[in-house]
Amino acid sequence: MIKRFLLSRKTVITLIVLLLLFVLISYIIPQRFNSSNLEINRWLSEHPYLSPAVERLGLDHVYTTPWFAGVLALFLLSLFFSSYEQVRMALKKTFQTGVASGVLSHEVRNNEKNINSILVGSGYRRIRGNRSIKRFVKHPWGYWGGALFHLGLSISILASLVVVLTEKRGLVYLVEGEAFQPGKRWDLVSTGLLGGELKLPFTVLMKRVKPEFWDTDDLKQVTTEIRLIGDNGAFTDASIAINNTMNYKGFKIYQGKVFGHAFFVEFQEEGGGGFKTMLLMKIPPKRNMPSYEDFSPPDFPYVVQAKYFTDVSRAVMDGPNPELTLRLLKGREILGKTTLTVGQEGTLGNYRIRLFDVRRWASIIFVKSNGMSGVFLGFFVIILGGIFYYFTPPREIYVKPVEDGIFVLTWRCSRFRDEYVEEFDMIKERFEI
Amino acid sequence: MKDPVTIDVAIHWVVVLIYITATLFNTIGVIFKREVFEKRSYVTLMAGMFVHGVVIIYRWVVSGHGPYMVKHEVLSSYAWVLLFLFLIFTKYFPRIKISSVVVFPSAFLMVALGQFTNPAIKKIPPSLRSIWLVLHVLFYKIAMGTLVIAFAFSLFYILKKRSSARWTERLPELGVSDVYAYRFTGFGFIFWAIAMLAGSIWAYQSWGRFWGWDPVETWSLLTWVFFGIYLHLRRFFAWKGERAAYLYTIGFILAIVSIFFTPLIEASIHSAYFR
Repeated sequence: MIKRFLLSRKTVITLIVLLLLFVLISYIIPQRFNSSNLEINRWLSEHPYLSPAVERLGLDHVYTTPWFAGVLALFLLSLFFSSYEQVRMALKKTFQTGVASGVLSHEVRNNEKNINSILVGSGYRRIRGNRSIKRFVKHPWGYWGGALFHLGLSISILASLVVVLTEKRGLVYLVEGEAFQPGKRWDLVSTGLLGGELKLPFTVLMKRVKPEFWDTDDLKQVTTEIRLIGDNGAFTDASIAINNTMNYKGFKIYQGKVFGHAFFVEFQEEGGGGFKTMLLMKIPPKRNMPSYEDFSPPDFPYVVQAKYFTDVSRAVMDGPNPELTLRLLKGREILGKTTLTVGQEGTLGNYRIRLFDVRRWASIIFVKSNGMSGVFLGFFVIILGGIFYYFTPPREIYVKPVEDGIFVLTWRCSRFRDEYVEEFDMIKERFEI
Repeated sequence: MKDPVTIDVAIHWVVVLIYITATLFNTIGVIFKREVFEKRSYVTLMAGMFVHGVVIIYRWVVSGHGPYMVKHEVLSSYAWVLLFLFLIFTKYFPRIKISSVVVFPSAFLMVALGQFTNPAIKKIPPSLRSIWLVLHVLFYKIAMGTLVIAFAFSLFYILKKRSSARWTERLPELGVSDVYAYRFTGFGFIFWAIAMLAGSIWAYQSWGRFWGWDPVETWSLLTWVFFGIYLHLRRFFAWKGERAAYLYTIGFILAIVSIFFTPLIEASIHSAYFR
């Protein structure tokens, strides 16, 4: 009963349409996993008539709702049953015997050996049959197209679930000379429900960040030299770049595409107090265009607005002397502004400011996941199934002796029959030559 | 005229003119049953494709990357792949030759549209330097080519069914149009899947994730699932004829939006493409 329900054509099409709707909803409504709270709240305030439904049905996190899980579970079950049924059908079709009905037939006068040779020469292979009727099939793997397609879908969806549930992924911004020790807080981290805590079993030291640019100022490559240090002090030096990853102790290490300069600034209050802070700025888009960032240092009553050019000359993307401009804001009121290069001092409101160091920084991503090979294997099986199904529809010829030296050839094609009818005519012509 | 971009644009205009000529010959040949014109259209087309192929390679060498960055080169390469695929498919399925009345003008329109976009050469970012990217892009172009052929047959079906104009007699029988629309959608569905697979391997190689719900990825998945529904309805619900043709047309529009419009309306990791 359940099996019949899950294999029903109406159930299958309804489940596919529902999955399509979920994807559509995730596109229309900002999702919590890839949007900030600010973006979600803004969207909700712009669509007040939809917000009750969004909140009640969890449409801002559709992929973690019970509705989606239920539909996906039903879809997976349906896929498993369907794959099983299709494998059974493919086996039956591949090795079936007897003559299919409702097909084209033709009588030939020839001997068995010649018939075999002409059919094999036309791309047909002898497969099974029975004592009196011989069966020839062109592209017998075509029977397996649907089965493989559904099997591949099952494998990829299952493997994707394993990845989503167990993957651990962390991103860290590291300044040249800075070390990231096991247990230290990640700048961005995401772990699957069954993934557990993401903790590196080694220390990562950022030795050097080397960006390269095209003459158009577009990014050519970012390479970082890192040192991976184990518990016993033994270390491995490595170099990673975008699209040039490395594997280390079960982790895959990626070069992130975000990088820039870190400005080390000392704030000295007129009254005597002060503090040092690091301002992490992303690389500007062009040599003559700055990048901007706002900072609110801890226990500091003002906002610091920063602007930086890659070089004070504004003539190169990769200059030795980056220029930093700071503005001190109290609400909307500007209390001061100063422009500095490394080693210089200035005044910002009631503060003496000193830029005492500038270093490069870059982001590095650490990923530990299981099931990825299953996802890709599933994809390949889907494609193989699709190719078998649409590119190689199987054609069958049954050879049945009716009298001595007279045989009836019966031709059958279950998919795209009209496109291949002429093939049987050509075979008939070969017998008449 | 030493500037490579100027040379590229000038040769592309020559290509447009050749393709327009081929389209005119072809339309006259098909509609008025003038075989000589039809034959000439293919000779003209191949000459155009040769020049077109040379200018694509020239730009590839000059820019240092394949045609997958700016609109000008993307549209041009889509047109070339469409024509190349069409010629290959006519070898195996000679009856699809009639779809040339849609394929030829589609190609010249794509090249011509590309001429009105900024042809400046853009340098390739490091994340786009991967063999998987080349496969990803190539298979989308191949998928689009097969979908244009399927669209041609869906259109023929609707025109023949709806119009009593005499020239529609030249169009294939309704059953033939229907089966070719179905078959080529199947091809497109598979090529689209290969393109998504190559893209996910590339994403995994570059960013450590195979799927990120990026707007372009999401639209691509939506399109693929839509074509999956179309094929399912045809296979298991015996959908065919006019309603299948209309449903396919919606899918085809969705495919065009996915490939050519989503990179423009959304900020995404694909934003280096088609800008």
